[in-house]
Amino acid sequence: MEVNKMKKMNIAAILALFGTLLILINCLIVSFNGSSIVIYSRSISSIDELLQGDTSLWYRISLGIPSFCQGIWIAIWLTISILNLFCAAYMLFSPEKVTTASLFVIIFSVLSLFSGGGFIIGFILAAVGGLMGIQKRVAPSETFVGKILRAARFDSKLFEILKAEPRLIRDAVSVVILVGVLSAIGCGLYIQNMNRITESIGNSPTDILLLGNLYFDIHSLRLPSIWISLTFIKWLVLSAIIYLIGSKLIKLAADYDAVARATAFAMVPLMLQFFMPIVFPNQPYLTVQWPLIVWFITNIWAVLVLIVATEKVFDISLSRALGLVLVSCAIYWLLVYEILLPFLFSSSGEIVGIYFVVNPKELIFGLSSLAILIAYVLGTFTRRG
Amino acid sequence: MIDNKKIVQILFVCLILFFSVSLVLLPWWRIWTSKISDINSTIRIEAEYKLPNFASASQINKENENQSIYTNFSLNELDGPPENKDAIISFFNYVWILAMIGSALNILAVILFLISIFLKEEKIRSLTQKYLRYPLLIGGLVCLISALYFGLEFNAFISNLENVVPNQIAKVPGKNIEGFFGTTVVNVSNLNLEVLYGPAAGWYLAFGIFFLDISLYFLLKTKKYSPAQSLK
Repeated sequence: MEVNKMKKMNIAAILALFGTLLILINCLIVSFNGSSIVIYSRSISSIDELLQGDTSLWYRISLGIPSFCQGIWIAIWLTISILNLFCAAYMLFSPEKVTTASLFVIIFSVLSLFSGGGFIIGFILAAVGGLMGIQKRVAPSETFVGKILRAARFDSKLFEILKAEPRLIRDAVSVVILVGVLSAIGCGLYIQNMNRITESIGNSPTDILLLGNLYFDIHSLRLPSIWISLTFIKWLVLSAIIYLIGSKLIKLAADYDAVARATAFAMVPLMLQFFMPIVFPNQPYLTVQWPLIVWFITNIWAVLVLIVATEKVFDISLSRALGLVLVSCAIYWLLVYEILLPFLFSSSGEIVGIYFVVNPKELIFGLSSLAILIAYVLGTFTRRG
Repeated sequence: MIDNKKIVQILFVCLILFFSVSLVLLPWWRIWTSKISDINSTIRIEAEYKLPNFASASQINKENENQSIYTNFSLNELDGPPENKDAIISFFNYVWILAMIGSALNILAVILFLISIFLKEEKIRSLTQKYLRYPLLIGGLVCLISALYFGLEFNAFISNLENVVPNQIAKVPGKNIEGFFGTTVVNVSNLNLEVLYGPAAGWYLAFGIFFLDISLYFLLKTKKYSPAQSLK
C-alpha cells in the first residue's frame, strides 16, 4: 500500500519536475532575449500588409505576454520559476507535505503563462503533476486530472467506471465547469483581441499581431461568467438527447445520470480552446479559418470520445454507438444552435462566443437526414432481445 | 544506482554551475532597438555591457550590410568627464569582484557536492554535505547583493556620461537614461528610433542564483522520508 503511494508520488512529482524545468528554460530564454518568445511564420514589412494586402497565410505564435516580459518582470518570473522547480522537487523529497507543494506548483505554473508557460507543454505537465499531487491518496489514473487525461485518450475502462459509479457525478460537473471556464477564457480573449484588430482600435493591430501582445480587462471575464451556465445547459441537453434515443427509443439499458457522467467527460477536448489566443493569423484567416480549425478539431475530438463513451454506457457495438452519437448530435445542433441560443439571446441580438451559422437552413436538415440514414444503416435502431 | 532525489539534487547543482559561470561571462546591462522600431526602420542598434569593463555595440543596416558597424569598446572610451568614467569603471569593478566571489563560492559548493556523491563513508559524506551549505548560502547572498547593488546604483553612474555608446553607433546621452530599465528615443541617421534599456542575462542570473542556492540548501536539509515515518 505504502509502496504504491510512494510510486504515485513519484509520478506526480516527476511530471511536475519536467514541467517546471521547461518553465525555467522558457524563462531563461526570455531573460536572454529581454522579451517574450514570438515566432512569425514569415517576416513582413508593415501591418497593412496583414490587414488588407497579402491574402497568403501569415501567423504569429506568442508565448507569454510581451508587456509582462521586460525589465523587472523577467526577474520576477525567473524567481517564480525557480521556486516552482523547488516546489516540484519538494513533492519528491517530502511526500508528507505534498499537498502544499502541489498547490504552489499549480499557482506558480498558472503565473508562468505570463512568461510563456514553459512553451505551454511545461505548464500542462506541471499543472497535471500538481493536480495529481493534491489528491495524494489516490492512484494517478484515478485522480481528477488522471480521469480527464484518460477521457482525452479514449480510455474505454474509464467510461465503464463512470457508468457504474454514481458518486462520480461531482467529477462530471467539475469537468463541465472547467470546460466552460477554460474554453470561455480562450474564446473570449480571442474574440476581444480579434475585434480590436478588425476595428483597428489604437495601436491594437500592431500590438497584437506584430508584438504578440494580448489585451485583457474586466470584460474578458464576461464570457466565462456566461459560459459556465451555457455549457451546463448544453451538457444537460446533449445527455438528455442521447438518453432519450438510447434508453427510451431503442430501449438500451442505461440511466440518465450514467449518460450525463459519460457525456461530461466526453467534453474534455473542448478545454484545449483555452490555448486559441496563442496563435493569431492575418485576415481573412483571423475571423474565420483559425477559429473554425480550433472549433473543428476540439469538437471532432469530443465527438470521437463521445462515441467511445456511448459504446460503454449502453454496452453496444462501436458502429451502433457511432450512429447514436450522429443522430444525437444532429438533433442537439438543431435544438441548441437553431432554437435555444437564438431564443435566449433574441433580445441582445447576438449570441456570445464563437459559433457558426450554417446557410442555407435546408443544409442543416439535409445533414441531419444524412446522420439518421447513416445511423439506420449502421443498425443503431435495431432492438435486440 | 542513484535514486531520484539524488538526480534532482544533481539537477539543481548543474543549474547552479550554469548560472554561476554564465553570470560572469554574459552582459549585465544592454540597450537595444524596440521591436516596433525594428519593424518600421532599416537601422537597428544594440549595445551590451559586461563585467568588469567589456562592452560591444552594433548598428545594423538591414538594407545594406556593408554599412553595418560592429565595435568592441571599454567604458573609458565613451564620451564624458574622466572622473565620471573612472567612477563607473570602479563601480563595474566592485560589482565584478562581488559577482566573482559569489560565483567562486557557488562553484566551491558544487565541487563539494560532487565529492560527497563519490564518498563511500556515510559520516564524511554527511559532513561534506553539511559544510557545503555555507559556501552555497553565502555565494548566493553575495550574488544577490551584487545584482541589487548594480541595479540600484547603475543609473547614478551611467547618467553622468555624455554618450553611453560609441559615437559612431549613436548618440545616447546619459541623462536620457532615467532608471535601470526604461525607454528613450534616439536619433540615428535622421531616424527616430525607440530604444529600450535594461538588465541583461548576466544580471538576471545573478539575481536568480540566490533562489537556486536557497532551494538546494533546503533540499539538502530535508530529512529522508521513510514510509514507516508516515505510518506513525
